[in-house]
Formats: sequence, C-alpha cells, structure tokens
Amino acid sequence: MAIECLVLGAGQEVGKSCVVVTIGGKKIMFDCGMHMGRVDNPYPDFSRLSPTGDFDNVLSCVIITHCHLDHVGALPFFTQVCGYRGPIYMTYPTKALSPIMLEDYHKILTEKSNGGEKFTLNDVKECMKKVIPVNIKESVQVDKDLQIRAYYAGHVLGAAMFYAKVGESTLVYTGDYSMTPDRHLGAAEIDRIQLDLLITESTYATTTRDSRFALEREFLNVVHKCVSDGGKVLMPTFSMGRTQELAIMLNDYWERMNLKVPIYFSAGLTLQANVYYKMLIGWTSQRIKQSYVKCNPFDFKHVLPFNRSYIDSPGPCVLFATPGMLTGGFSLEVFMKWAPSKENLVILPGYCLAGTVGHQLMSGKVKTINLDKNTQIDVQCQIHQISFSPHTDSKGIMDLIQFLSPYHVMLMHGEKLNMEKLKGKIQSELGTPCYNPANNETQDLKTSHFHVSRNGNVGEGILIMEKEKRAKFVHEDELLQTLNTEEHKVKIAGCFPVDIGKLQSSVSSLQPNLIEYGGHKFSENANLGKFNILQLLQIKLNELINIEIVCQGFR
Amino acid sequence: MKLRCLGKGGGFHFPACHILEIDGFRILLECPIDLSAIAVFSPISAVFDDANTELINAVPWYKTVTNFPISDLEASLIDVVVVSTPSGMLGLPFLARTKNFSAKVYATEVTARLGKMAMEELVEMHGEFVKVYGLEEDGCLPKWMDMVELRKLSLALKEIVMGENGEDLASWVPLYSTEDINESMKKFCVLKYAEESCYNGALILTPYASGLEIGASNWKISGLRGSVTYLTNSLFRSSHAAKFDFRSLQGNDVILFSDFSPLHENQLFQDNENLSSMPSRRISDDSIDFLESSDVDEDEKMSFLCSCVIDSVKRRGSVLIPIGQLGIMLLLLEEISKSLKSSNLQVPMFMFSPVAEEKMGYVNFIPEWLSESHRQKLFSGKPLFSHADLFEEKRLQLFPDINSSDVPMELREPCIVFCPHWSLRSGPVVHFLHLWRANKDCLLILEKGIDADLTLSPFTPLALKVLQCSFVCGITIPNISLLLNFLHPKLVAFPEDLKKVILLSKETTPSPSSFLFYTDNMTLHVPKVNDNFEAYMSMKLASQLQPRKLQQQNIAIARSGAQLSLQRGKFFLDSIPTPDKLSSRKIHWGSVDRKQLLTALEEKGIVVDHDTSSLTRDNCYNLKNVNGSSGPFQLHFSASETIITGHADETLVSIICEAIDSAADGI
Repeated sequence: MAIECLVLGAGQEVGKSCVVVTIGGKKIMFDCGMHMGRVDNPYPDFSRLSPTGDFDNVLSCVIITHCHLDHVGALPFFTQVCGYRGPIYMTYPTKALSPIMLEDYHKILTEKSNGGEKFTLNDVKECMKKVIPVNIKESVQVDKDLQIRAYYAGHVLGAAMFYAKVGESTLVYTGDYSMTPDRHLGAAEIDRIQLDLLITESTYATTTRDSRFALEREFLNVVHKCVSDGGKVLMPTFSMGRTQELAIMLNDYWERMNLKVPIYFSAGLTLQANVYYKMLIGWTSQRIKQSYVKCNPFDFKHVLPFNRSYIDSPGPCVLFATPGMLTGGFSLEVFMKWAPSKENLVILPGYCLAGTVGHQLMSGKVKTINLDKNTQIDVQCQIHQISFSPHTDSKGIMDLIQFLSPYHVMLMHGEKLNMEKLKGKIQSELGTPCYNPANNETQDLKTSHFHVSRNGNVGEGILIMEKEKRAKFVHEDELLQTLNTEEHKVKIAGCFPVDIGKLQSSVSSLQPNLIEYGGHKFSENANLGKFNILQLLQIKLNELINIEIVCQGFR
Repeated sequence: MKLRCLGKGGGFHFPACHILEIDGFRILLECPIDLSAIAVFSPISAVFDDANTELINAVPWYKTVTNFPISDLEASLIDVVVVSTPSGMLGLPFLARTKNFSAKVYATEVTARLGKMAMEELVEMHGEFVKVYGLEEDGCLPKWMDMVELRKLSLALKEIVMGENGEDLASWVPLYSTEDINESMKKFCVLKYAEESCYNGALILTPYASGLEIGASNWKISGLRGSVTYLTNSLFRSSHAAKFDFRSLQGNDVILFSDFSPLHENQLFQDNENLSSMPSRRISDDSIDFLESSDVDEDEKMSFLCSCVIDSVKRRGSVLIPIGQLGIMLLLLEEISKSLKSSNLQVPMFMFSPVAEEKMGYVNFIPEWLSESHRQKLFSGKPLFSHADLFEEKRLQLFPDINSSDVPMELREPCIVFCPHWSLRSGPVVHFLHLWRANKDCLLILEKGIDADLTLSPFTPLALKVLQCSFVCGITIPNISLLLNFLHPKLVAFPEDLKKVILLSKETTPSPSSFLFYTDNMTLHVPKVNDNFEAYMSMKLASQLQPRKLQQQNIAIARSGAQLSLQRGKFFLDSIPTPDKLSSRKIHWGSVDRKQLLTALEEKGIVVDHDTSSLTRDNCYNLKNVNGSSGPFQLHFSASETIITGHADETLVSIICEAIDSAADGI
C-alpha cells in the first residue's frame, strides 16, 4: 500500500498549512489555512485537488488542527466559495474559537478595503455550522474504513494532533504543537502508536531553546522596568492564545510584586475570548484545572477593559491590543501614538509575517516606518521580542519522532534551509526516511508492512485460502477436519534384514491384556504368546527403524 | 464467557451489579451502595427530638450488594472494575481498602469526578453522626447488629437489614474515610467518550454516552473472541447530557442488558394524576424510529413541578428539593428560576452541599459532555448553564453547609433550597425538614424509588406537602426491541425479571438474536459466538507464502511458519527469521488421480510392467523402472491409502512420492 501527500501549503514555508493525504484510498485534507503575508494569493491552490471543483467526491473529510488563521483561514473560502460540502472535523475549542479569529481577520481586511476578502462574515457562520466537533482521544469513525482521533498538542487552546487510520495504514499529522507546558496549556501528549507516516511542523527546526523559566523572567523584568520608569507597554496580540498566557503571567506577577499599574485589554474581542476560555478550562493545563475549584484563572484580578480615551492619558500602563503583528486596526493606532516616546515599550509576542509593521520592527534598529505615502512614524520606543514560543523546538521534534518511531517523516511548516538541516539530522541520527516537499509537490511513500515487536511466539500451521472467505490458519492436525476430508496415506513396505536380538527374554514382563494394537483387534483365541512376540518385535523395530511401522505388514 | 448478576439494584441511585468473566479476566460491573437502606437509621435530630421512632439510633453502616465480593480474597480476584455512573462507584473504597485489591477501574472523566464529589459529600454528612455518637470501636460489630437487638426491629426494618433469610446482614459495612476515597481514586483510568482503552494488551474497553446523566456511559468490551455491549440504563433524549450513542454499539456480538428501569415503571406521580397515559410520539432518528414518549411526559412533569413550586412560594411556603440526580437538579434549577422570573417573584434560592461550589462550577466547563443544545451555547459564547448568571445576580447562593459562617442568620423565607441527601437521613435536608414539616404551605420534592412512609417516619407528624415524582431513567419497554433490532447482536443476556416484558412486547421480532436469561447470583454461561480468533498478517509473511491450489478449484493452501503476537486486543502474524525450517511431514487426502499418477511416473521413466500383467489389477499396479536397476515394485491403492511394495530404493521412493503429490491433494 502507498501513501500519497499532496502539499498545497506550508511546504518549505510558514503559512497556509494544507496537505492532502491519500491513505488506503481515502483522501484527507489536513488544515485549510491562509497566508497572512500575501494579500494577492493567500489561499492554497485547491484546483490541484480537483480540476472540476468536485471536492465532495474526492475528499473523505477535512481536519483542522487549531484555530490559527494559517490553519483555518481558507476554510470558509473552501466550503462557501469552492463548494466543499463533506465532513469537517475539529476539536470543540477550535470550533468555538475559529469564528472569532476569522471575524477578527475579516475586520482587518475590510479596514484595508482593498477587496482582499474572499468570503463574508455570513460565510464564516455557515461554514462553522458544518463542523463536527471532536474530543481529545475520541475515536471517530468518518466512514466504514476511516477512523480519526485527536491528541492534545498544547500550542493554543484546543490545538490537536490528528491520527488517521485506514485498514492497517496509519499516520499522524501534528499541526503546530509544543512539547513543554506553558502558563495555561499542557504539553503535547500522544499514545505510542505504530505509524507509517508522521507529518510534523518544523517552525524551529534548528533552534534549541533555553529553559522557559529564564525567558519568562526576562520578559517580566522588561515590562516591570518600563512601567516603573513611567512608560507605557503595548502588546499587539491576537485575541486568542498568547493574550491569555501573557495575561496570566502578568496577573500573577502583579499579585506577587503588589504592583498597581493598570493592565488593559482593548475592548471587545479579548474579553469575549475570555468567556470562551472559562468554558474550556478542561482543555488547559492540569495546574489550571486543579486551581479552578475556587476561582476561575481567567478572571484576571488586575486586568481592566481599555477605553479609547486612555491613549493620551499620562502615567504607565500595560495594554493588550488587537490585532497582532501591527497589521492595522487598533493596535497600530495606539502604536502610532506611543512609538515616538523613548520610555514606552512595544512587546512583540510572536512570529511576524513579512510585510507587516511588526516584521519591520523585529528586523532591527528601525527609526522610521513609512506606513503609506503620507504617514511616517518616528520610532523612538524600545522594542522587545518575546523569545518563548508555543512551538516545539528541534529537540522536541526529535523527541517526538523518536517516541513514535514512524516509518516515514515528512516536514512542513518551516523555513527551507532549516528543514534541510533537520531532515539530515533525522535521517542520520534516527535512520528514518524524511521528506520536505515544496508547495504543490506530491510525495509518494511506500508502506508495505505493519511493525510487530519481536517478542511473539513462533509457530507453524497451514493457511487455507478459500474464495470469498477469510483465510484461515490451522494446525496441521486440524487441516483434514477443516477441509472435511479423509487422509490418504502413502506407505512403503519393504523387506530388509533386521537383527532383532533376543525377544523371548522379556516376554513375561508384558501385560497380557494388551490385546488391541494399531486399530486391529486380536480375537481372544489368538495365541497370546505369539502376540507378545509380535508386539515385542514391533517395539524393537520401532527402535531400529525411524519410520512408522505398518502393522499390516505383519499380518 | 460467564456472567453472574450480583444484584439487580433499584433505580437510578442503585444500579445493577455483575461479574463478567471474559478471556480469563474478571470484570466487576459497577460497585454501588444501596443508600436507600440507611433509612433504617434515625436522623440525628430525631434522637434529640424524642420522636416516636422505631429506627436504629446509631452511627449508620452502609449496605452494599448482597453478594458483593467484599472479602480480601474475592476482591483480589477482580481484574477490572467498570463504572458507568457516579452512583456506580460509591462502594469502590470498600473494595480499595481490602488487601491485595489490584484492579484497574475504568470510568469516564466526568463520572469519576462527580462520583468522587458524591463520596466526599457522603463522608462529610456521615461526620454529623460521628460527632453525636462518637467514633465506633474498630473490629467489633456495633450493638444494633446484635441478634437480640435485631429481633426487636419491626418487620419492614428487619427485611431491609437482614433480607429474607438473613443473607443481607453480611453486606453491611462501616463507611470509608476521605483517605480511602483518595486511595481508590488512584486506581482509576479515566476516559473520554469513545476513547479506546486497553487492559493487559487484550481487552479493549470503550465508553459511549448513555444519555442517563452527564458523563454516564454504556460500554463496549472487546475480548479476543468477540465484543460485549454492557448496556446500562439509557435515555434516547436527555435534556442536559450527551445523547445515547447507540450507533456505536451496533454489531457487537453479545449484549448484556442491564437496564432494569422497566421493572420500576408504572408508578409515575404518586399523589397526582397519572401522566403516563400521554399519547406516545414517534420520532425518527435517521432510519430508525424510536418511541419518544418520555419526552412529552418529561416536559409536562417539569412544568407541573414548577407550578407546584410557584404555588407554594406564593403562599409564602418554602420549597425543599433533596434531589440526587444532577441532571434533574440542574433542569429544575433552570426551570424554576425561569418560572420565578416570569411570575415576577423575588424568591431566593440556596444550595447547601460541601461540594456545591465545585459541582456547579464543574458542569459549566464540560461542554463536550452535554446535550446538543448546551454545546451550541459554547459555540455562541454563552455560559453552558444559566446558573452562572444566577450567581452573579445573587439569586442563587451556594454554601458548604448550614453552619458555614457566611450563611445569613435567618434565611429569608419563602425560599427554595436544594440540598442533599435524598435519603433524608443526613445532610442539611434534615435541618430544613424539621424547620418546615409543620408548615402546610411548604413543599418537599422527592424522587421515586424512595419508600416515602419509612423515609418520612421520623419527621411525623407532617403538614408540609410532599410531591414524589418519577423521572424516566432507562429505555422504555417499546424501545427495547426496536433497539435490539438495530444493534443486531448474536446473543442477548436479559434479566429473568424482564422476561415477560420482552416476550410479551408486541413488536418483538428479534429473530437474529437469541435470548439468554440471567437471575441473581446464578452463573450464566454465555456460549461462544466465534470459534476462531482474528489475526492480521503482515505483507512480508503474505509475500513469502507458497500457496497450492486444491482440486476443489476455489481453495488454496499454504504451509507457513509465523510469529504470533498480541497487541491492543489484536493478533498479528509476522514472518519468522528462518521460514524454511518447516515441518517436513507430508499429508495427503482425498483420492489419487491414477491416470495423472501414471503420466507423472511415465515422465520419470516408470511404466506399468506388462510382463507380469497378471499382477496388475484394479487396485494394484505392477511397475518397473525403464532405465534403472531397481524394481519391479507394486502400488496398492485403497480409498484411504497408497502402499508401495517391492524393490524400491530411496531415489525411486522419492520419485514415486513426487508423482503421488502431483496426483493428489496434499501438503
């Protein structure tokens, strides 16, 4: 059997994750993301999947791993514009949070109003209605042959790795994951399952990160220093995930250090997101779940809603504002006001795509940013980039591969050069064949086996294969009965001299009542003494000649 | 496979209990306590009250199932415990505290959590008795168990305490402690719905929603020789819990039918008009029509209950609701608060329980376990249950117990109080019953399945209104055969008590399934449903096979060595390192095609010897080797054998054998 992977996105790049895997005759689309940095061509090229656009018959199902736009962004386009009507699976939190992310993004697009949006808010709503939510570890039978199962992936609330199985062919698509727990999420967790293929992300293919604790402390120190110097801290984030993690950290720190400087959430979205988080505590880390009993960890004591009028009010504060990457909207508006002041601080909590203001800030000492022809921002403020990330580092990737020991590994969602290095490492250190196809390439993989641990019992038997029936393995003694037939013996009778020695000497030791032998009954008036000799001869011959003695020969 | 029913239980709070032996593993299904039996003890307030009571004045003991494996030996023989509902695990610490108890306990995440809360609540409330009577001495029977004392009991009490012939006396045990609870929780393996879990590499256990309660489950237990559905009380549509996932149970070989609810039916409203005569409504679930009569009834019942509550509070009487079913309680809370709002009444609601806060918080973040309508709330960003809003508006207040410091000195009456315990023997309910029993405007809502006369006897004389209400908690009779037809099992093990019900049921057409009937404490041998084991063969092994076609053209056979291993309940056959070391024993069967044999021999230069043709008969050929020295020799045929006689050396014999091989079926 073979597995075929058609990479429609995130091949040798980060953005618009989308891969279509053909396994045991079933086609599964994993993720349906969009590329945030590209306005002109943000979606995967679905026409490669079906030139006629008949996706319903081609695909068995679509599986979305988590609610980030580079994994779910193209879904409304695919279902509402391209017309896919088949099943879509995602976890409960992903189903709940994805619309927020999509609406969030839609808002930016319409603000930019360059016609970039290819779907409407109503499309998002209609699309999400079709989604079948699944729970972690729940075995879902998509159809008679295809079974899928989600495993906890960390990364963002509701993120999951997906396992798919057709017959005995199996694979896992990781999506994005993190192998270490953070402030609010647990680490990825998966059973040791036998896999033909593991498709893993490789955002940090070559980085090995320091302990999370040190990185977190650094972040808190930077923020603390800024506010104690009277500066304002701006954190452009998306409403989901990072915001909650950082807010938990700051809230705890404020509590511990007894700080009074206000922390704000920009209006609307982020607060709304917290309502979801409160219902989804079951998907957070063990620590948070346990602490829940008395108070909800997402009721931040020190966090207040932000009011637009606070932008110009004096004094230090910390502000979480959407959207992330400073692509526009409220966070950019605040940035324009606060950037020229030296004591202020902008924290960039994550990856920023090329073409965004955030990306420009990350790339080094920028003093001015030209937003458009007429707008120029003077950047005097400090810039800090958060170095802890919800993605696994290269050690985590290696650990996962080693743990699962799949037959093939495919890398996605990473930068080409780093992927090459990791690929080499996987092949040399783990001896596992590894691939990193580019976008729109197809990777064929041979899977010709299942993997059996070498601890079974060795046995022997006969396999009976009958047309239109299941093959049956029997012991050779059961064969004739199973075939419902009689044995046909082939026997050899020959004459040759044998030294039989003294037979008479041990006659008396024999039991006289042994009058049945070899299926032949000796009548009672047969000479008993003669029989004993016959029997002795039999025994003697059996010792001498290593073949079955046929009694007939002596009649 | 063997099945022994240890007790058929009694209703929602006391599920049936079985021992199932499968593939050599011993599985205990449920581990309940009969909490209705603590009615024989008098509540503490009654002791001071000098009430006219014949109940036992002592620290209560608790009654397990009559034939419960409580001894160290029996408990140590159990491999697996399967728990379907919180009430199915209340007795677990009794087992866990025995020596050498090493079983693994399987339950859904939610059942385990709610069950733990229920146990903690029980221990907490039990503490009231200990405070009054003091700790019991270890290792000796309490005084009330003395034969002399037992003889003094009334007939009704005696039957509860001793059973018909005194066999129940051994099933009474002293309660466990918090440490026992924590110890027993360590044995748990908690699962999500449809999560497959493997025990010892051989058994696969999977829970599926039963609809009875949040987190309640039916189980698929897959052994090496087939699968068993452990079907517990199930509801086709539940107002709050995820609905009965019967589709996932389709195709299992055996059904262990353990829903005893039809036994307890037909006693709907005791004090009020019978609503069971409501016309039943057919609802269609894809291709299957199930009768959803319960649905309409349940709505009617709820609105009736709400109207009674409203009546009471309007007359300035308080309402006491000691309902133990979580789902019913949540529904009542929701409905009553709605009714209060629509009637514009400002009546406070209180909930007293040591675990009230934990429980009410918990149900608000388990959307995956709730009904479709509650899941939709998650997706639209609204709290799962409205009680979150009730807290905020201070219309509902939670307290751990009545003595807790933040309870207002005087509760504003009328009020509505939700509190444990439904047995009316311990917990805040006792306090409130004493407070309100003489007030005819007050209302007490009880569940069915409680012996109201006995339970209420320490509180007499009663003036308050008592409403005893039944809620459907199982598969209704007409649905049983519909369900069985859909599930299509090979065998169904049915309780003997329901024999009449199932055989009389008009729509019974379970032709494919044959019924077995089990009774209490009798071992039922369930016949094998599959003679063979299923195994998967590796491609490598398959490619090494050298199959041979038989004379029956549609069969091919091959001799093969293989490595057999068992993983997650499945057998796998893989190739062995030295596949050529196979047994060399030849087996032939059927008859030899003589014409073919002679042709084959001729090719090797062996022909019929016509010189001595006198010897060649039908059953005997005289043969000679044309170019060889050996021979002549004879082949004797009969139906079951071929014998070579004469001067045949080894080479010749092997040539002849090869020829026979080509002329007959063999391997």
